[in-house]
This record gives sequence, structure tokens and C-alpha cells, in this order.
Amino acid sequence: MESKLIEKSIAGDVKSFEQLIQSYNRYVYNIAYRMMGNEEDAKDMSQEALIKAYKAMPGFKMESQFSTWLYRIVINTCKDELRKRKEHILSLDEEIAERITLEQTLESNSGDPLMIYEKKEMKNALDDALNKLSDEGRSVVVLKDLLGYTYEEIGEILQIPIGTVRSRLNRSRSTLRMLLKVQLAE
Amino acid sequence: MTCEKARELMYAAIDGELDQGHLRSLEEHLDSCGSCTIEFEELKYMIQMAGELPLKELPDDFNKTLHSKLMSEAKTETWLKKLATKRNAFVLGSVAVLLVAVFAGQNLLGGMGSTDMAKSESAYDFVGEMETTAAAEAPASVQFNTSMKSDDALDGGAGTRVEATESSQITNETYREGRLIIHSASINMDIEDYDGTFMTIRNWVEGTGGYVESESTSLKTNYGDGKDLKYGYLTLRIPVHAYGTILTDLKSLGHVTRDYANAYDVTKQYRDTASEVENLKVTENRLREIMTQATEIEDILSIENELTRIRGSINAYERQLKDWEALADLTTVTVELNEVNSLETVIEPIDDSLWGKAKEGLIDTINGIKKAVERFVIWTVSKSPILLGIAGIVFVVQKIYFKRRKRNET
Repeated sequence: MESKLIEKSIAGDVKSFEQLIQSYNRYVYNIAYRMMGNEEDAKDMSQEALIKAYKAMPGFKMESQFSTWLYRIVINTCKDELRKRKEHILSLDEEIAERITLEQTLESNSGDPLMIYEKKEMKNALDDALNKLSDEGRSVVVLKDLLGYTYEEIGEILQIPIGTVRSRLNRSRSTLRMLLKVQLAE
Repeated sequence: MTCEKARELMYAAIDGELDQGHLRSLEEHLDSCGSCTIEFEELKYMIQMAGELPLKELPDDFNKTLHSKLMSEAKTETWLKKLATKRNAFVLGSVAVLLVAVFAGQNLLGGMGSTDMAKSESAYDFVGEMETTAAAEAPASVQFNTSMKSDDALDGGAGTRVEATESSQITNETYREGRLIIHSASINMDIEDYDGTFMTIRNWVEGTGGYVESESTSLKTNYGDGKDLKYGYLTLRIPVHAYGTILTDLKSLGHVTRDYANAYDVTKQYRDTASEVENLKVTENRLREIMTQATEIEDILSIENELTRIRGSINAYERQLKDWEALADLTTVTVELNEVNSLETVIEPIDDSLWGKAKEGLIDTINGIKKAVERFVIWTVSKSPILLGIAGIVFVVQKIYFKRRKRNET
């Protein structure tokens, strides 16, 4: 079924392409949301990525999974955009996730201590903390811990060796833990 | 096992990627190490929470907006595919040669310096003959020459000429025939009734269909007992047909003290600019034609850039033309009015002025003496402590001197 849709999409059929991406749209949007950090950008970037995918359909080889290929486009589109923005805005916090200081640890304790027991607060804090990770780190965490992809799949999506996926993931998780230290300790 | 090694294993354990052997040794370490246990539990909890983060719902209009974007994308895709790729060479070649030819054409025409509208028509002939000129210009145009021929064979050949005659017809309507002269004049005069004259001028100007661009009136300082005198100016914009009559009329209103008129002939500049605009328009049309045949995004972009540039210059030139036309249509006349009591020359009575001057002189002298005395008194009083001191010293010195003299004498 999917391969038929793919074939038609390659030929430029919009309807088939829309059917093809139907089941991936939400993931595409959510990946973009996690990468960009807000809904408005998420919508723009996910749509831009889907248009790119449509245009690039003729270049899609059946060897890899369509979803993997699609998510790669989404992540790269978001990364490109973020890079573009960083060039415009002075990037002072580029390395922030890699150098967690006490100040940032305290900063993340913005909620009422009593509320930290609540899972909801924890998740909010996690939301914020995710946005503080580097683009590279965020993409692995989102794919692995939020969307549940395996190391292999992530390696394929991001086109990096599994070893790199593992080390990036571990580094980002430990950064996250530092960012959430206060919430976790409560 | 070190804590560092344990940390590495923790992640793998959470992801379920740890074999039994490693898992057991990790558990052993955790049993003995409190901080690692805490870390492990925190990590597990955090990752579990991350997994529970809800997926965002798609925005309502997501599919709709995406659909319209995809459709417009699909349209351009098919449009691009339709155009044969072999035309690429033609497009690039013709753009290049067209630019060379236009550049050469502008230079050539710039040197011609013609006087009437025949010039812009000759420009079209030139564009028509561009192939041969361009072929002689540069070796790069060989490609163009051949492609141009194939173009001729299709439909292009006649098209250019038709277009040219069309725009030359427009030309005759758009641009002015005959000489284009910008008139301006300025008149200074003395008048008796300022307000009356002012109103008369205003009415006249309105009668001609012109308007008063600016005006200003001030009161002169009044020295005598007479009425307040005024002076001021008006800047008038008079339609060119009424220019001559209004100047004569204005001069009859009073005693002209200064009269200046200037006629600036812009015919040549006007014609040159007009033909420049026509040349650019031909280029623009040609580029648009090429644009419809362009296939590569790069080509389209570069043609687009060139079009924007040409449009910009056309607009700038046209603005200049319109300015000239407006200035030629409405002449500028500045009138300076100076109100006087009487236009007849008045001889002042001699006695009055003689006595007046004498009186002024006397008062000046008396005032001068008074001021000098005042200043002296003030100075003396204010410096009195010092003066007294000096007087004392002089007195003592004198006493001693006289005593010595007396002693010497005896």
C-alpha cells in the first residue's frame, strides 16, 4: 500500500503524497515542535519540511524507510532554520547545555517547591529543559525518549553512527538531569 | 566497578540494551553506592516522564494550508517540467547578448545627441538589428545568433517589431512635442496699498488657474507717526500660457525696483531621458519574453533581478520627466512687495532734520558727561579702602622725607 503511494508521489501526485504522509504528520509536527520550541514555528517548519519532502520525492530510494527519510528532512529543516536564526541573533547560549552551572540549576527551580511533587510540574520543567539542550542533543532525546525510536533508527534518521547516537544521548540525558536536579530531588 | 563505568551502564540498562552479566554487576554497584542509586532512580523517572510527555495535536488548519502549499508547488513543478530543457542555453545566451546590446545601444545613442523624437524611433530600429551588431560585438553571441534564428523561425522575429511600433505610438501620446522650457521670474517693487495689492495679485493668480505657493507678510518698524507699513512676498505658480500677461500686469501695480526672469530650456535633457526610457522598456519587454521561456530557477532569478533593476531606472527617469513637465507647465514667479507711504519722492524739511541732529548730539554729549561722572564716583567709593591706605602711606613717606630734608638743612 505504502509503496504504491510512494510511487505515485514520486510521479508528483499530490493526493497520494497527502495520503502517504497522513499517518506521519503528527510526528512530523511534534518533532518540529520539540526542535523549535513553540507551536507557530513548529507549524511553519513541519509544513516547509513536508513541501521539501514532496519536492524531493523523486530522490527517495526505497532502500530506507519512508518515515526515517521524512523525519530526517524535518530535523534538518529545523536545524537549518535554527542555525540561520543563530547567525542573526548573537549566540551566547550555544554551549549552554554542555556547561551547566549552579546558576542554571537554581534557575530551573522556578516553580513552587510544593508543586514539584506533581508530575505535571515535572513535565513542564522537562519541556523547558528540553529547549535548553543543544540542537544535536535535543534531536536524539526527542527521538529516543519522547518518540521511542531505537538507536538504529535514530542513527539512520540523523545519519550518524550508533556509537555517536549513544554518546550524544547519554550526554544530553545527564545534562537534562542536571537541569532538573531540583525537581528530581524533591 | 567505578561510578563512571556504572553511569555508562545505567543508560543502557534503562534502554533495555544491557545483557544479564553487565546488569548484575551494575546492580551490585548500585547496592553499594548511594549516590549512583539516586542517580539511577532520577534518570529512570526522568526518562519515564519524557516518554509520557503528550504529543501535540496538529493545528486545525494544518492539512488545509499544507494542501494549498502542495498544490501551488505541484503547479510550478509541472510548469517547469513542461519547458524543454534544451532552451536553457538559448535563455542564458540571449540574456547575455541582450544586455551587451542594450549597453552598447545606450552608449551609441548617448553620443548621438539628437533633437527630436525621431531619436527614440531610431532606437527601435537598432534593437531590431541587434542580432548582427551583437554578433560583431562579442564571440559569445554566436550562440545567440543561431538561437535567435530558430526563434525567428518560430514566432519571435515579427513580435519585437510589432511591439516596438506599438510603444512608439504610445510615445507620441506620452511625451511632449516641441520645446520644453522652464520659466521663472522674480519682481521686487514698492507699492502704496499693501493689502489691496496683495488681494489683487491673489485674484489674478486664481483667475489664471494658478495658485499661491507661499506667502509672507511682516510689519516694518515704525519710526514716525504714520501708519504701520508692511513688507512681504508671494511665490506664485502661474500656468505657462498666462505667464507673459501676468508679469506685465504685476509690474503695473507699483514701482518695480528689481526685475529678473529666466527661461531654462530642458528640451534636450527631456528628449534624451525619454528615449532612454523607451530603450529600457524595449529591454524590459524582451526580458519578460525570455522569462516565460526560462526553466532553471537560477535563470529566472537572474532575469528577475535584471527586470527589477531596469524597472527601477525606468521609474526614476519617468519621475524626472514628470517633474520637468510640471515645472514647464507651471511657471514660478516670486513677487516681493515693499509698502511705502507714497510713491512720490519726498524731500524732508531741512530745519527739522538739522535741529533734530543737533539736539541728538547735545543729548549724547550730556549723557556722556553724566555717565563719566557716575563712573568716577562709583570707582572712588568702591576703591576707597585701597585709596585711603595709599594716601596714608604717601602721607607718612612725605613726612619722613621732609624731616630728613630739614635735618640736612640744619
